[in-house]
Amino acid sequence: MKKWWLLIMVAVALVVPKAARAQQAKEFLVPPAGGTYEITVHPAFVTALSFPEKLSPKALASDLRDNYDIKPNGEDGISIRPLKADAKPANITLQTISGAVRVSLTLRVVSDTKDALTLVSFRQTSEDEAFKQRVADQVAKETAALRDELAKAKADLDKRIRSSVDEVVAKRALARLETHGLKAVERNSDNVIVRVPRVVYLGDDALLYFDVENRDRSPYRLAKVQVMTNGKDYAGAVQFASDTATHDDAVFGVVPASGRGQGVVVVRQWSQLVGRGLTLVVEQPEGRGRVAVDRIVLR
Amino acid sequence: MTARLRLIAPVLGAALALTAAAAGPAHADADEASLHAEVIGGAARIEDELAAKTATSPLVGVGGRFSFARSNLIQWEGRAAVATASATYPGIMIIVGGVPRTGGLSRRTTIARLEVGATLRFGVRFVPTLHLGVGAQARLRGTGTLDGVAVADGDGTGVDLIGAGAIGFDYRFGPRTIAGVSVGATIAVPLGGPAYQAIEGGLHFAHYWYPRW
Repeated sequence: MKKWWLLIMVAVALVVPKAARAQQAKEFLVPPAGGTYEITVHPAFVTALSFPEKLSPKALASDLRDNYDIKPNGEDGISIRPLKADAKPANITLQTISGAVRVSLTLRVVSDTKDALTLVSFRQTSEDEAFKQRVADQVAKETAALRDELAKAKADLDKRIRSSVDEVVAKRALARLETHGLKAVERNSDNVIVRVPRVVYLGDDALLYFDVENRDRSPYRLAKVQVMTNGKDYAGAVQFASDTATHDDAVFGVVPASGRGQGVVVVRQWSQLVGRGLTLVVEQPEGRGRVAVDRIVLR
Repeated sequence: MTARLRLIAPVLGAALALTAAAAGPAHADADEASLHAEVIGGAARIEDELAAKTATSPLVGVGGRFSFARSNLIQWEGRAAVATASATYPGIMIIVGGVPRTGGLSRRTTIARLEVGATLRFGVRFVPTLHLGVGAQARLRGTGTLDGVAVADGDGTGVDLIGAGAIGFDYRFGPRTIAGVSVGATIAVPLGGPAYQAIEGGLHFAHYWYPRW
């Protein structure tokens, strides 16, 4: 039985319109000289204006007929509701009975209820405090705008990066895209075998593929990859994949015992290295498990 | 045939046991080539035209082997070896110069063997092995002697087809060096000559490398 009640409650909650879901309250600080303020209103809401003391019966207003319903709300307040969604902006001037608070209000109908004010209060203050309030309001407004802009920029960033990468890859592929087989292979004393089976030429870059076969009983933690010739390292970015995941930033990857891994090292400006014997060097941390695969020649 | 079976049975049994024990991931060294130097020792059972029974004699020799592994399990091999054995056949009676002589006939047999085969390798640093091969051998039967008198009959050269099997154990000292021992049997199918079988043990040192063919 309780389940039926729950279902009914959920159904009602879904069906009933979400009116008055975002009511906004705002306080205006009014300097001694008075001030002008914009009051955003919506036909679905009654907007209550509250003053620190009785209102003077003398009020000036533009033509409000047929557009706004304005009623007293006690002696120190009034309530306003636009009669239609397309009501034109109107103006009303109010002051308290002592004349300490004088305001000129512009009523503007907004289409979104979230933007409408429902409770507005006016408080007498000094010129200085009112100025600070205006500055704070303006800063908040501009900050909100910047925040929106930043969020939008972030959303676009991934697309822009991906697009840039695609352009670079496409440009290089047009320049040269070839795969050449290699037969370079070597092992170390720990029975870790490294093979370099192929190189892919992509524009100015050469992607050197290498396999690490770990026949030792300990995992092989790949920490360093070099492409050496004449004592200089030409290795660029390195990507490595194996069956074992690692969160250690100090290594490219881990090859488990009796496991295999595959990697790619980018060699930039391969044309400078044509015909020279390259040596792919892989190491574990602190230089352990070094394997040097020599006689790699780019053509 | 019975004698052959007696030689082969223990070798095959051990080989099967070794294979079963080593079941699991392959552990050979794909793409590696090697050159082996071998010292061979063992015993040979050699038949002689002048003797009613075969004789068993010590066998010694040297050999060389070249291998290349295309897969992670099998190492293909070519092998060459020379060995010699001197067998004595007792109770031989022959007539030399019209004079009958009785005694032990001694004859040295020297073989030169070429063999191709495969070795299954079941380890990385410690490597149990199982070898099977076939080939041919030239067998030089030397002049026999009986009581210090040379006996011309029965000498000559023959050719045998051979089948060989061996189990062994290798140890890898580093990326390049492996040493190992093996024991096995060689069965000869003579093409017109007397029978020959041998049980051989071997000690070998090998240099391994990646030829990058």
